[in-house]
Amino acid sequence: MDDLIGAMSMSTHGMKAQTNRIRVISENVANADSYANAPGEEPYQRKIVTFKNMLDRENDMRIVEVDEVKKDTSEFGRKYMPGHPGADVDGYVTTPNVKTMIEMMDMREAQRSYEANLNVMDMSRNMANQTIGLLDQ
Amino acid sequence: MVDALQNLAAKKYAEMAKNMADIKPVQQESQPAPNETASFGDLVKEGLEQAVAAQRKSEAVSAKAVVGEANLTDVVESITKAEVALDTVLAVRDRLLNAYQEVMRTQI
Repeated sequence: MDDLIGAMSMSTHGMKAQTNRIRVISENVANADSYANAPGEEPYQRKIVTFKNMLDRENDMRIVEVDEVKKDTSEFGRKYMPGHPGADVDGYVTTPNVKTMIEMMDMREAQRSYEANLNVMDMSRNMANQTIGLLDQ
Repeated sequence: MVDALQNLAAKKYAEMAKNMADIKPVQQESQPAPNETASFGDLVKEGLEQAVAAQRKSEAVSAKAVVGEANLTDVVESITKAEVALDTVLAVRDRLLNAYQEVMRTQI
């Protein structure tokens, strides 16, 4: 395969991985307030995306793919809300282990990474077009 | 004189055809490699077939995206690839047709 075309598929894989990450981050942010609804029940557990590189034998490239969407095993928070249906005998409700600020940082990171891949793709396309342009008189 | 010119033109043309065969993508490996006597028609036809295949693929991916089965990035990627393939074929065709017309216009 032409290297420029290969670079384009490569960045597509990067972009796909980052969109998946964005989707998981949006899930975390949206569920930041999904508390436990009954005593002893678990609240929403934060999800983490892990990436891996895989060999694309057909084109001999190491592409990036989403390995797994794992659950964050860190501890849940506790919040004093005696009136909440999920409150225990002391009036505490377990809250999700999502920290919105961390999610924002992750989101920015995913956005920048996506942009970088997009720029690589745009540049490879421009290079290909400019080269073909040499044939036009 | 004319003979010499013709020989030169034929030689240049064969060289060009050979160069074109060299830069062809690997997907064509299954087909027998075109020899140096491959005609211009075959060259354009082969290139066009590739470009059309790329266009078909991009269309299929777009259709999938409409149904919600394909990724947005997949659509952009396949359309860009098809575009580059078609542009290449068109540029080569224009260039060679220009050369042909130039030769036809030559005053003898």
